[in-house]
Amino acid sequence: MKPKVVLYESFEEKKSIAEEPVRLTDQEAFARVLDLLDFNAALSAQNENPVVRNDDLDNIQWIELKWHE
Amino acid sequence: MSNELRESLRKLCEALNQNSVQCMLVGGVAVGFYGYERQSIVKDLGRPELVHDIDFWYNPTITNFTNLVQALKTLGVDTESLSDYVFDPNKTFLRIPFGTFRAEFLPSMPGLESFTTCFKRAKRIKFDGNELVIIGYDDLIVNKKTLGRDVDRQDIEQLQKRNPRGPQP
Repeated sequence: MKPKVVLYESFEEKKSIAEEPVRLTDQEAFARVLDLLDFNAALSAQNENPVVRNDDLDNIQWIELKWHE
Repeated sequence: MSNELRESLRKLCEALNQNSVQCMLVGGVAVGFYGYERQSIVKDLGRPELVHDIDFWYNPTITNFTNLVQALKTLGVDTESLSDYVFDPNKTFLRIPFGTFRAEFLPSMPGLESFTTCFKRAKRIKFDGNELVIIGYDDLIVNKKTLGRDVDRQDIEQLQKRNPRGPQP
């Protein structure tokens, strides 16, 4: 789809002609959450020193499972 | 299908459904579903986390736990360490790494007593061919209130701003 170019005289004008918000379906809302998580993970991975949470702060005794080799 | 996380989650949910595992999505993903897409930040470091958690609350019965272990086994997870394990409905928390996220299975949720009751009230959606169950809005708020951490209070505030009339059908 070709992007539509809209020019505004002022910020107020932009707000006034903004399209009505559209409510996402449940599926779309969920897909969006996953897209955002994926995007954030990709972004974080670009850090030279990626930050990984310190699980020592977690008071749950997790059973950490691994994948078969 | 556009992202790795979504494909991994599809496979996981397919295995859970095929093995009749009763569980529902809770935590940050549920918060995002109800309208507040919060990025997990590492406390005191002010930077996003590399790996996100996707939390599931599972029905803490022996049968359901056995089904869960079977589902994980069919996916290729090494469940050998659980072969002699004595299931504890209060303490059996499982964590499985999935590349960019960790799937966490919790047997209990603070503030919520009955899995079965919450399961009946939960939201059900069809997603990538699987049924996904997401904790109900009101139950999520109760859980967050009970947890009461800064991040939970922020979640409640933002969710209530976005859902001033409560959950929409």
